[in-house]
Amino acid sequence: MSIATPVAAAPAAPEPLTSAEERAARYAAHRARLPGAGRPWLNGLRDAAIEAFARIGFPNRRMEEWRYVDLRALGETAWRPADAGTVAAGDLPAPLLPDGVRVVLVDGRFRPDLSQGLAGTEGLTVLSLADAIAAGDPLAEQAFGPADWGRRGSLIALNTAMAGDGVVLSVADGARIEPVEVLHWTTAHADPAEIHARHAILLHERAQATVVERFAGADGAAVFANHGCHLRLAAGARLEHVRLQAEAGRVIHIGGNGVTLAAGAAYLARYVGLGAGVARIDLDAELHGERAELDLASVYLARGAQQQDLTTRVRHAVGACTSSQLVKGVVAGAARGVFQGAITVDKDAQKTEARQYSRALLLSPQAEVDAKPELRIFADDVQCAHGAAIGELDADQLFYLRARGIDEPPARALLVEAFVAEVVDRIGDAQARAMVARHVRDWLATEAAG
Amino acid sequence: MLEIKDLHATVDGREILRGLTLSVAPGEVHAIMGPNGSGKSTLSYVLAGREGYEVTGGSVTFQGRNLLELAPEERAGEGIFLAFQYPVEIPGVTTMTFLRSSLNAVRVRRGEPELNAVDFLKLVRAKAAALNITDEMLKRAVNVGFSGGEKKRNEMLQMALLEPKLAILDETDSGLDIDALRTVAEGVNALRSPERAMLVITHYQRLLDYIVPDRVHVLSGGRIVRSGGKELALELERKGYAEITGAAPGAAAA
Repeated sequence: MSIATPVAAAPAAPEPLTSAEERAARYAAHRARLPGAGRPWLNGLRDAAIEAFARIGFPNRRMEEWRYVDLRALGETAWRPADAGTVAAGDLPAPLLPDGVRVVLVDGRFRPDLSQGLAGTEGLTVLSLADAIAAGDPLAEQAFGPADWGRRGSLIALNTAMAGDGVVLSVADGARIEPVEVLHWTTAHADPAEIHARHAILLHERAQATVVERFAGADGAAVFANHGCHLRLAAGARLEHVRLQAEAGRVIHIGGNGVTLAAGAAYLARYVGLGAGVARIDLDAELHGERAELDLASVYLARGAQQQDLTTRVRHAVGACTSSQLVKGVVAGAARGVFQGAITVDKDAQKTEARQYSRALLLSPQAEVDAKPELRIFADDVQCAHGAAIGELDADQLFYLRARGIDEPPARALLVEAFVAEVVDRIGDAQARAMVARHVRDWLATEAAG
Repeated sequence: MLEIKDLHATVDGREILRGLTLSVAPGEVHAIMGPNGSGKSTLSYVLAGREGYEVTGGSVTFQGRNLLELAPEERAGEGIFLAFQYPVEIPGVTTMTFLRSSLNAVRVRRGEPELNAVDFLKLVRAKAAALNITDEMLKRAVNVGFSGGEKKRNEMLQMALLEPKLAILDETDSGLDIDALRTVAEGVNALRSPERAMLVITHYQRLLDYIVPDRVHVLSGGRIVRSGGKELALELERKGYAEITGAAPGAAAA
């Protein structure tokens, strides 16, 4: 056993990062460690991104789009980039499909050793972003998507500047792909750790796919998990995207999803959030081909001191497209739920159909829900509807169940499950639906047990 | 079996029951008749334990237990069943899930094992068939999209499954055409037994042609003002409430 450790050989641990200014000032050193540091297109993109981030700074509640969610910890915690986490296959939840394609990322790093079925599915390409960059694969450049941080905020800019890895899924013209599971696993960290991962789901013409993203992990120190995902649906493509956020309690989960839809494309977004301490999910959708369809069904469950924020910005850039959003929330304890939904219909986007409904259920007097619909309609021949409702469990229904012998906690659980079912039932893939239903039931069982 | 003594109850601070006394023995069917606002539904809700119905005086014992200290679900476990005047719709919960949760909850309270899915299905199908309730109805959400008659038949199905000791039928005839009324009444009569008591609450005598009571009570102003045999119902039908209760029509609620 060697006692003398050659100090010089150990890479110096990066200093923790706190303020936005500090990050920008020390960015060059970080960039040098990222994959693709020698590629001009990537250097340019990353430099522009860190500049945008430094200009805007971390979100704060004086910014209109961030007023309901408390993210002060982001700028006040001494984060260190997450180490390559150690995890054994047995620590991970069972795959969605025993023989299906499963992509595993640990702390934002693509892990082929823990994944399965990565090759051999015709029409499906699965790459790690780091590998794609290193190999000069054109998919790497496509994976970053448009540089529209001005509209989408500083965290996606920070993600662009910091991300070194992630998963890129590409589905070929006309291919039909069975559910692809992407498990984002967060390991337990001894100190506050930050993760920036960049993903892409690219569907070519008339491709059809189901992608099931699961975010989960082990309990540990605080984690700032910043996931950016660019989704591009070519003409006639159809994607069901199930996104289940079930992170451990000390995670601040940021999910920035940007999707562009070409003519006749359909994006079925099924976003479910019930984990993390604070979760902020953004969906930016651009419908820029006629007859494109966006269909979002989302539900979040929050309790304790959790905060769940879903913010959507849907833009109808051309006519004859449809967007439909149903967002439901269940808020218990002293938790907070937020839904901000902006719909923009451009001047020439005639015959647009846009619907947006949000309903939230308050399970305790301390719970809080904020709902902010925002419609900006510049075309005159459109059908737009929106509605927001916040309420408590129905006293008549509760009494009816209790009068039939059902104890109050399971009676409440049954009613909450029924409330949530409207979203869960919209998940087309049976396995994914069952998995989400199981998570919801576990949540309710814990809630019923007090 | 059921002893109600000098019961006073308020709703939203307004006294609705004002000294109601009633005794029901096992095997008996009692009809409670009265004009609108006389306190009929309040009585049924007080017995079932609904929140917001505050008992301010008197007592209710059921098989020797103080009923008033029990939660609604505990009363169901003791064998009290309220057939609702307006059965509640529960979107998102299938009738089958609801029935199974209910039956197993009550069985556990009675110290019986839960029924497994297969045994439950067999039981519910048999009971449903007798009430003309189809499998398709059982798969629908509880009472959602049900007609008035279907809702009341669904109440009877729950009663048949739970086999209560005391069934309270709150205006079970309201909103039913004659065929539906007959089906519901047959369901009720099939459950008459020497161990089971029933409290049939109704505005009209019509239901009592089908469910013949042992005793008839007239409720007015929150207390029972007359009791008699089944012929009292016919007398009420003939003369109207005003003459029997000695009040002007419409004044009974005051």
